[in-house]
Amino acid sequence: MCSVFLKGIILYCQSHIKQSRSIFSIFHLLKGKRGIQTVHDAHLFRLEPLFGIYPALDKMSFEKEIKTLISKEYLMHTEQENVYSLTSRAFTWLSVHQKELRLEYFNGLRHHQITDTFFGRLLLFIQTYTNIQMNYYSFIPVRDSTSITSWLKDYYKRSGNVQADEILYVLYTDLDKLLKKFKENEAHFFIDHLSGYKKYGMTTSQLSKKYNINIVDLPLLRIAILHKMLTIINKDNNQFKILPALVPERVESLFITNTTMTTYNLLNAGFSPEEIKVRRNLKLNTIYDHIVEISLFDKAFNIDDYVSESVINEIKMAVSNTDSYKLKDIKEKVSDEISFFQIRLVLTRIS
Amino acid sequence: MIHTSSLSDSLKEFNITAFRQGQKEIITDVLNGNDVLGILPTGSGKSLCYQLPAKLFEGTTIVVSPLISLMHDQVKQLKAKHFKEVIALNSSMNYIERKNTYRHLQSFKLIYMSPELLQNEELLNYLTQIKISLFVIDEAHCISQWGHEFRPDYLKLESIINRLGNPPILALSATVTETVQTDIVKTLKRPHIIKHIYPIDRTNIAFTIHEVSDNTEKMELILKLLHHKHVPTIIYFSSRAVSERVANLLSAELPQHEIAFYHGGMDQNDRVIVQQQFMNDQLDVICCTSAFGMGIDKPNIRLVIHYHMPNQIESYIQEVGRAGRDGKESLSVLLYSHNDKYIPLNIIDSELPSEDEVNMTFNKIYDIYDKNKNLPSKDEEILEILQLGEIKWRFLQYQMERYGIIKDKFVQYNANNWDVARQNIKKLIKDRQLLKQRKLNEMLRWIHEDYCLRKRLYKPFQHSYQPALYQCCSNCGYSLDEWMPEQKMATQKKDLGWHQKLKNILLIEGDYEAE
Repeated sequence: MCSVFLKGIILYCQSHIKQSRSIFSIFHLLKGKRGIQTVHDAHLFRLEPLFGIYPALDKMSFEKEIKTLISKEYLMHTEQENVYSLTSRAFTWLSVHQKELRLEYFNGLRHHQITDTFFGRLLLFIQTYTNIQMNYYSFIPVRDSTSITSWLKDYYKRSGNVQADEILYVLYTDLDKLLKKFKENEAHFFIDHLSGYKKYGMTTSQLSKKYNINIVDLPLLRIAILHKMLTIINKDNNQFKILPALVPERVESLFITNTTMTTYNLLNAGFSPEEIKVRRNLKLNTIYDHIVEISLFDKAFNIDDYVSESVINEIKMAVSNTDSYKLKDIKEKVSDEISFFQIRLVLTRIS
Repeated sequence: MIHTSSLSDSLKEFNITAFRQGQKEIITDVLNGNDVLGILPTGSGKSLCYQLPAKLFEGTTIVVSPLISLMHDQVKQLKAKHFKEVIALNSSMNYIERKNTYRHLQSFKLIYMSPELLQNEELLNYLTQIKISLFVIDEAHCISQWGHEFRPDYLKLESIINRLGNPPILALSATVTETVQTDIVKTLKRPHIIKHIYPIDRTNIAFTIHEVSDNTEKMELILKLLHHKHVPTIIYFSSRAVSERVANLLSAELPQHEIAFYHGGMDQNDRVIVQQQFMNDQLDVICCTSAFGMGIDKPNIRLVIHYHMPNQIESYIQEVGRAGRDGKESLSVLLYSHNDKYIPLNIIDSELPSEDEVNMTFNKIYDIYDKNKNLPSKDEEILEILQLGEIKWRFLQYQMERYGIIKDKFVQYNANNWDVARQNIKKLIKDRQLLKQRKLNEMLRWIHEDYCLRKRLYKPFQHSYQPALYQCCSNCGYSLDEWMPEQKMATQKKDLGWHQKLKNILLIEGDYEAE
């Protein structure tokens, strides 16, 4: 398996953001920080698949990884604090090992909010139905958040007269089909998580020992597998009988936040940012944040109202001259009257 | 008044056939609306004493317990037994969850909560609106300054109970001296409380102490012991890191044993899994801190080893009390090396703020007073400003509230009052540390005892004890060869293909191959 998963992912992200952002933008990206900056970065640097793939990552572990990468000479300091660049050693490592990072498995921007729920449902589903099958009703559930238990109760009610053994049989064919699309040891790794009748799955540290993976890398491998599963199930959900029901409803809201949605509706109703500012009693910069967010997610949104053709060209030129997505660098290269807001807005259309 | 005939009906619902010692007496008094103090040995089913009444009472039963993970375990176990109207409130609930739960408090028969949460005004307001049939104080020794685990928040319970309209009280504990018993009754202001006090000695456990020169020798001893006696085992440590390290070393040396570690720093899901693997005999040996074991009712634990000694006799009694709940012959092995006595000393020093830290905190709180008089609303921010650990801050915060220095996050200054408070708090810390030191000395004295260990162990808690059913202790002479517990058979571990593994979990029989 991959013994330096997180380090590799960090190097890969660094190779995309270059010196445009601090190292902590990678931390926010992996954690899936809810904020326009992080989402915007994910688009800008083509790191959407890695958005929110490691919500449990804590700052200390992240900093420790960075320290190791520096001391092992994969990262080097630049003049700016917390901004690093890759060493030639890092580039060599990436060219050899990048395929071990399972980058093609991840689909963070699409799945990050539902992965944990999907996994929790699957775990509790298997534990519950195997215990029902054995007429054992006093087991301690491996997941007990109400959102998951009440979903399972609903499922149980809806499937009313279907016998547990039949459900388990169908689930087996589903999982068997699904796991065949994975490597042998990935299938083993995944199955070892599962709990059944009087048999509990493995803990993080037990899995780490058995598969020789660092504790810090283990969640990444699990999430890589889960993302690929979700992608396969979504793509062709006719070939699976039970699994699609375990995939949580996606919140198909166009925008990340509700407050942005309100601004969007007001814009569509013909209000100007200044009028919305007064109406909503918010700062103008907040409204601008919303507009950037809207532009990011709605490619049909017309930015011409805020930036003229010539301004767009000027900004695009500055970006290619500086070879940087750093707002400050770009601002220095354009005329004074062009605002940060305008630069950010144009950046949503470059990638 | 509830009839005793319904008592035995309710028992069945808890999957229990008969009461254990003391349970019926306590439950009967509780059901009759009396205040009760119940002292029952660890593992004797203390929790049934309120769970059963809670089910029968019309109103709600509140249980205050300092052990959050224990509360969650109990809720899980009760739900598994189909007692569904139970909940453990915790501070990590978000706004909507909290509002929703608080509005429907009366729909729960049994509500667990921490003493800290019970300080919360919002919750208290909701609680005053529901009918409370019983107020349970679990681990009641925490109320006493002389107890081994004093919790300042417990001192406020009396006034809270008062505000809730003085429902009947049930105070429960496992190991308390007579001084502490008196203190509990005094603090709760219920002089007529009915006391049910039961002996805590365990006749089927032998106590042995091994003095060793260093940790290498400890490892050798443990390896030899586990090699010869393959039985369900708990090994206690005072450090999370050491418990992990030893678990790994043992796993490498004993391929036939399934060994895992457990401590409070683990992820919640993993903690549940490890506990259940052990309950289920998937694991043979648990290397853990004192966080493991409370609320675990595994009948066939045969061996409890202390890699580090506990820092007080009370903890030792509770921890070894997890062995042999089925009544069969079991063994406690305490390993002691000369340097071990410094470990608890360090812990004692780190639990309470030092003099310097008290001074520093007073100065920083004064700075806050000087600036805007309000403490930041978030605890993390306060800790950041004060550069203080959470446990130490909780202690100081409580004291400063007591002296009126802090009131609802608002700092009030009075030079004279602050001086008095500062001196008194420092003295209190000294006293607490002395008490802990005394507790540690008791433990050490017992370890170095020449006389019968059983007799000396129980002496501070009760007047007499029963003789051992099997072997007694290392001072009376103990032979490992004479102990012949049922051992786990060595099994051949099979390497199954993943298809077969998946089939096994999903209970699919036969050689069916999915198309």
